Amino acid sequence: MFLASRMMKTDYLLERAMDVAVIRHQVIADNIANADTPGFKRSRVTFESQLKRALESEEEMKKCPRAYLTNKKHIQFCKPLDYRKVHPKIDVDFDTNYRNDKNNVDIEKEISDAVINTLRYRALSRRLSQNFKMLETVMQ
Amino acid sequence: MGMFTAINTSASGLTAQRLRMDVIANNIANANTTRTPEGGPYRRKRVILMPTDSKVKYKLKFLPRKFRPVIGRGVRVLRIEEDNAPFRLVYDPTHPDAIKSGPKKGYVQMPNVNIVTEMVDMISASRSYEANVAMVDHSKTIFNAALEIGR
Amino acid sequence: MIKMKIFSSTEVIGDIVKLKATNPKHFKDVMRAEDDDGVEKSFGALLKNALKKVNDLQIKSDEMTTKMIVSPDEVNIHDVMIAAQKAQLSLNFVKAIRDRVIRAYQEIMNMR
Repeated sequence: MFLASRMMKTDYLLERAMDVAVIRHQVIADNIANADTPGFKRSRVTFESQLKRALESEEEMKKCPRAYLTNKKHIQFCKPLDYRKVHPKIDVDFDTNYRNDKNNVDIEKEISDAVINTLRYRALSRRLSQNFKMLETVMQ
Repeated sequence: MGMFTAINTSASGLTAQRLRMDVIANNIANANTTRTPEGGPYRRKRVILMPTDSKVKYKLKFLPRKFRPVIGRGVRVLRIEEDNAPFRLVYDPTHPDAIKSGPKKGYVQMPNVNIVTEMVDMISASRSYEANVAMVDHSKTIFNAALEIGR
Repeated sequence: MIKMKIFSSTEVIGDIVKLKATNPKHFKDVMRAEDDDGVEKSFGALLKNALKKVNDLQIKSDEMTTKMIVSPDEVNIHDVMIAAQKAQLSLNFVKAIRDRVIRAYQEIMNMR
């Protein structure tokens, strides 16, 4: 919808974050299901740090002087990263070893990650719901 | 990424761990069985586990799109195989299954089951089972949280 | 004094090169910016555009619901709920606007 307004941008970010939380939940479920498979390496999802970089680059755009482009081959000084193009990335963690059979799933860490993820999903869902309620009160 | 794929993944983990527990319980129950229908003492059995989609995971930093890691779908039991470790020999000439002649005369072949190893495996399987149960609970919480949108 | 333009997050500036896709396997590197509401030609066109968007949201909500019934492995539950919520909100908006317009019209008619 209208992404130029701030609230809609927040809604969009909330939706994306919820999508990524579901992906992260599935990756953690897969890690735990394979906690005893020999040779299995755990996976993890990275998204929030890339999103933060993209949003911060927009902030830096305001400090950057704007170049006066006279030729179509000229390039602007600063180019912002588009936060809409940030996608979650699944990394396989090859670098650690935990057991003799090369399996590196630490069940406690996975469970704590799952708890954090679930709480975060609930918070995101509640915030999104509140935003929608705000729009409804406008109409009364 | 569907609504219930995480639950299916955890269910595969539950099934695999439950099977592992059953095999361990069978091993412990037969730890002293010297005579089986196939002849010979009981051989320890174990479960071979494998990820459901056994796609090779590459270690390169930048991968083409076809080889990038996808979300796994859990674990499956490949087969239940017998452990080929040698049998324990216990000296007991009065035992009806003692070896009658040869260099090992008077020894009884006991199953190659080590109770301590089985107990450790059982604790590990039990912990994994509980972790998978916790994940199913999280899946339910997440689903219910999404249903609250707009309520 | 040079007039400074405030960049919105949807605008793209600078070194985006438009690639000519000669083969269907080439990706067209076109940044599909969200269409902000441009200046509409008439009020009627504005209304029609708005109603079209509301209809699209309703259709999308129905599609997501159907997907949820038929193949739940493709869709996320929160996507379904969010689509339904957006459809409901937009319909509420349109209804509220319609009521206000009708009330305003009746007031004008009563003035005569």
